[in-house]
Amino acid sequence: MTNRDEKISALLDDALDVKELHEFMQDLKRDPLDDAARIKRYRLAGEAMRGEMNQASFMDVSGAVQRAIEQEPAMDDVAVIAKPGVFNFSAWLRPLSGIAVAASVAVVTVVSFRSLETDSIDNTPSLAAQQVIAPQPVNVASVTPINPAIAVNVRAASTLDSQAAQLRNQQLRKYIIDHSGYAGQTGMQGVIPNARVVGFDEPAKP
Amino acid sequence: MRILLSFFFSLSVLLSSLVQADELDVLLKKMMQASKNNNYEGVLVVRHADQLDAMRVQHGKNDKGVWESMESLTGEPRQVIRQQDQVTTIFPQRHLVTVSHNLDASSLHPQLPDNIELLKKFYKLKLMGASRVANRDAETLQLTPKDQYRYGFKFWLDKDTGLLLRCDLLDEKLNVVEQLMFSELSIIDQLPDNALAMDAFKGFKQVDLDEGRQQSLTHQWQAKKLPAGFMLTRMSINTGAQEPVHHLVYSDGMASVSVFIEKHTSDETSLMGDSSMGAVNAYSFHREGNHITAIGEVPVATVRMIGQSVEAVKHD
Repeated sequence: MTNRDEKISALLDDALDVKELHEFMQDLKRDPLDDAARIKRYRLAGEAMRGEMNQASFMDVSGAVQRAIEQEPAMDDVAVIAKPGVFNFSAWLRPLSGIAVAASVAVVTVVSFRSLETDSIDNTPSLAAQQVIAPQPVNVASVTPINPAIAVNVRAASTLDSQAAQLRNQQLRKYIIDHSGYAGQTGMQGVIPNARVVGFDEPAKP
Repeated sequence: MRILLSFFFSLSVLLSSLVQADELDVLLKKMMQASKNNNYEGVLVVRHADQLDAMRVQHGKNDKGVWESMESLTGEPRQVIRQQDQVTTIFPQRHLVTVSHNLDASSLHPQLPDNIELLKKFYKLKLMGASRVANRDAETLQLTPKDQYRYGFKFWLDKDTGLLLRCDLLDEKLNVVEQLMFSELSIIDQLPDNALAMDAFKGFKQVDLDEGRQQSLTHQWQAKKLPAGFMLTRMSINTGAQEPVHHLVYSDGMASVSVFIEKHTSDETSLMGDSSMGAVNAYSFHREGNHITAIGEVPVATVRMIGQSVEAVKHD
């Protein structure tokens, strides 16, 4: 993680003091496009970590991280011989790089899912459509650069986004509950439609 | 001689398949009756996506008819009670009770389509042999869809009673997308009288989720494209919401898809594109000022196809 990454992460966590914020704003003017992409990635990753994205994204993130970890060579297989008295940097670096790869895949996946969520109508239905949550590269060029003047509003915007995501989740739950009430009468699956509803954590309409 | 042997072999295969078909029909009918006629309680484990839940299930009959209660044993405490057409959900920590009703008083327990032959048009049915679930002997039955628009089912049915002990929902590659299984089950003569006692929740805030909902008698919306075997089974309109919400339900007797149509109000907070929760897929979009969502325990291709084909019915 670079110093710039740390600053953006701190900005989103509201952990920059006035001086650091000023420095951040100066740096922002140099490469706003790159910073916009980073801010968006961190914000989405933050949402995912706080549990503000829907379940499909969690499924995908955990699966992607697992796959990335599995692709990394097992520590037992790595032939690194530590010389006595010499700090073996590569032995430390390898597990860290594994975590970094996993985290990057997770971030990419989260961003990909986000874009899916806003996709407009697709064409003909097909089974391939089920696989749309597979990780896709992030199209950085499509990220709108942030105007430095409004950069300080990033946190507020992030909060609004997560509130909107929460409302979307509530809407999905309500639909599932309404659907289950009737689905239970049309199939022969006994308790299953109700069991799905019992699994939800929130009431439909408080 | 060879011709004779071949004839007897073909005949035995034919007889075997006829016997199996007969056994299947008997088993399905037994399953349908079992959910009506038995009193039981047990622990049901539900796994979907990366989530695992457990709930205590009680099912019985009283003077008002069949009822069932499901109490979560994981996550926030909550209890769902269904009696006839009423569904009551209790959230003890929030001191909240929500009540909703199904708009007609048809049987609490879903019925197998009267004509099993119809079901066989869309699913291949196969007996998979004996097994054991919740310490009870079971018969396994698999329903494999004949197209890509529905999931497959694998049922484990109690050998004695026909009760559903375990159900796996399978995608087209036979991957399990959802599992429900009783980890323990007792079939009993009579459940205790206090099984449905609501006294403890008297002071709770009560919310009627159906305020304003009514049966819709005229077709205002319809899906023009449905997978073979799906038909409209319910139609309602909820006028209690800020804007009326039309709700259509389509089913092939096993799987079902709901379509919700309401006025589009906000881009920010409306579901858009694909969403999912466990085995349930949803597809949302807006068209001509309306927000349309198709949702059901079917593959995403099916909710997309049905959702995209929804149109307002023109009345002359």
